[in-house]
Amino acid sequence: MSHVASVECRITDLEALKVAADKLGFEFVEDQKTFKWYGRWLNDWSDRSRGAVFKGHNPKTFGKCSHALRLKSRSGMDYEVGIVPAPNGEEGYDLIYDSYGPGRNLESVGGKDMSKLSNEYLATKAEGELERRGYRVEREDEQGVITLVARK
Amino acid sequence: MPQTITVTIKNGKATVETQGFVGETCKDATRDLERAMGMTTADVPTPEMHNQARVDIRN
Repeated sequence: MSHVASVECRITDLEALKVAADKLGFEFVEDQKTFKWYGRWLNDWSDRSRGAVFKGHNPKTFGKCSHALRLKSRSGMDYEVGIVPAPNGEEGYDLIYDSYGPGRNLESVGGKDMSKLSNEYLATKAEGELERRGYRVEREDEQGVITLVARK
Repeated sequence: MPQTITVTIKNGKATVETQGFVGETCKDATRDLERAMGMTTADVPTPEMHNQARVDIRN
């Protein structure tokens, strides 16, 4: 091995997000400016490792977004995922959603904290970048871990 | 050893490992890839990268 780098997902490519979302079972709704959630912030979230508030998002903005994701297999009661600009002038977008009640349906598709969707986005970006650089990519999915091996 | 890039993705994070590259070429090979995926939070060189530096000094 020559070097090992750790990378944290930052969504900057909406086209790649569309591909990833579609693969998992979400519909990307471009320019939808609101997303369905409980409708009122109760300030009852205590897990500081999660929660949009602890990542710098203002609760007054909850329910507003640049674009949205909704379940392909949705019912009228389903919540949605808001694609929201990252806070504090950072580049990219965050995925914001209400995880209570109907939000559990979102997590059954996208994973807790949309981790499955983030994983699929990372894989889509990585595969695209590697193939553009002339690598042949093999993909393996096992127990929630995606492994890409690229060779020239 | 053939040049290989392995990307392991879990919980919204990725680890990018290179094999068969010597010296700084490993970083050149993955810089754009890492940037495309998000924010690099750690970068650990491995013995191969240091081997190239030693060859250069001898020359």
